[in-house]
Amino acid sequence: MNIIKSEKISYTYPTYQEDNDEGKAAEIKPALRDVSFDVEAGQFICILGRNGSGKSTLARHLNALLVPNEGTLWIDGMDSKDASKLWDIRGNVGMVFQNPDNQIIGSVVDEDVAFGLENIGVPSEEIQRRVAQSLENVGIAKYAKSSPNKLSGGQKQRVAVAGILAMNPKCIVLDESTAMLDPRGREEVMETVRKLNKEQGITVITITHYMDEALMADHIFVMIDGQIAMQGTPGEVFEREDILERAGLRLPQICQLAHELRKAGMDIPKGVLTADELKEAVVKAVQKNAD
Amino acid sequence: MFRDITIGQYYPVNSILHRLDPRVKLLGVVVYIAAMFVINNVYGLIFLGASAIALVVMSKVPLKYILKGLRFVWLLVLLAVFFNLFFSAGQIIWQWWILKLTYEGMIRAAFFALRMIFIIIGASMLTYTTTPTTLTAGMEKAFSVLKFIHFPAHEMAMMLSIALRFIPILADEVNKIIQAQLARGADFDSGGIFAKAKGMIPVLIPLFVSAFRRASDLADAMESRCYHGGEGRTKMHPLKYAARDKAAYFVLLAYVLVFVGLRICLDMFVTYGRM
Repeated sequence: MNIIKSEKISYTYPTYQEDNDEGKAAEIKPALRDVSFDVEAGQFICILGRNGSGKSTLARHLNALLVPNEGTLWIDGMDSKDASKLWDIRGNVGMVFQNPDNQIIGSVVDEDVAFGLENIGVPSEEIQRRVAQSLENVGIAKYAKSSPNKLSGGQKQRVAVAGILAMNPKCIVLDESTAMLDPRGREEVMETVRKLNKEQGITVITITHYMDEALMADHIFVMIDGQIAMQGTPGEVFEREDILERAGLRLPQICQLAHELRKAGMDIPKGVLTADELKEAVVKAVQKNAD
Repeated sequence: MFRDITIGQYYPVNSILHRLDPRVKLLGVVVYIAAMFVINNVYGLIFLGASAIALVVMSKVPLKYILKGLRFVWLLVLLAVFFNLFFSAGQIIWQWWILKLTYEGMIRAAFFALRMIFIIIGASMLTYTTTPTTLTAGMEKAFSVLKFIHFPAHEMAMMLSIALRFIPILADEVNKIIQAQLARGADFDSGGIFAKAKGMIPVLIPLFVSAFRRASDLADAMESRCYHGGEGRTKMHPLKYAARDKAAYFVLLAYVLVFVGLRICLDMFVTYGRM
């Protein structure tokens, strides 16, 4: 079943700009143009694109923080324009934002995790149970009574994930949530959401420009200038270096090495993504040469 | 520079005052401060001093910690004492230039100083024994009795708790901005008080811009998590009165009766004395 179904959505940010000297309104570029895509429940999706490609705008549509000017976005069968479904949509699609400090509301970790549940009016005992459970699930139960200020960036982002998880969402959207973290924090967060995706079947959509994160996705969308320029599995997407270059993206290191080796005349098959696969391919190619 | 301020900081021990409901403690502080202004004689002052000491003992907060917290208040107290001591009308004991030491001034200064110290100790017991979160929850409940005049109790409590959450973050940010401006050649240390105040502008402007940006991010995060005001909201740990809280309300009532009694009786006594 499709958890998200987008039918030709377009969005232009409202501007409060005065007319320029010639008396004409400055030309406004839409942030999204005719974007159509489907996400199946339980998938791990990655949206790639450079700054200004519209990927964050798209993310904000996924829990109705923004609604499309044109076209329709269906989230778990609900039209995102339908104001009466707004809280259902936001309860089903959780967002983790970029800055860990600016999305934690409570002064104590467990209170922050409870925030969403308090908002939708869940009874107190139920809140306590679900908060404890989701803190356990993201592996920060021992910090339940700490101040968020004492946690590392990766831990703060996991608190944010726990707050969403407590609401039993069907989908988690990570809007460049690892961009401000160190490599270890990034790994912690990605490991956590990957686990949730595998074990609980929660759909994960990560928006990023770290190519290495894209490797773990089931499906990748590449965005250029507010449009989806290409989509497919990591193996398919990373073969198209030309489109990636147009998108302002660089191949993951392994793919790049494979690509260079192939250019140098070595017989490397397509779709190599991990170091082990590449090693095997190189060994095979060398042996074949020796024969 | 804010690190040493202990006044108003929660002190985590387990005492009867710590376990009391924040609403009781809020009312207690109001009553205590009101008592300070009602009382106008030595017996009342002794009574208030005794209750301040009783509170400190009950709270299990070390006296040293409380006195350390008072450090920043001494200056204020000294200033008040100085003005009362030398600028009161009355029987002059000693005079130099415009400074007149009077008998009445000495009494008033002593009275004033003690009153101020007792108020600060009494009021700070609230924050020593209550976590910011419980305090805001208590205020939300306490002020929701004003709903009939549309007092925004929930909004106020939410703003307060967000402010408390962001104080350390913004304090960090100030340090970062100061360093960044120093690296660009800013000078915060020379010149008079006006030059120094003006020197803070390059710190304040980036701070405000960043605070607004954070506010916008936070609003998105709150909306994403279904925040839509206080309507229909539940609490993870709702405030509930225990038996000890009801008992504390009776103690407060008795307290009010005692100090009102003290004031009335002694007023009468003094009036008769004069006749």
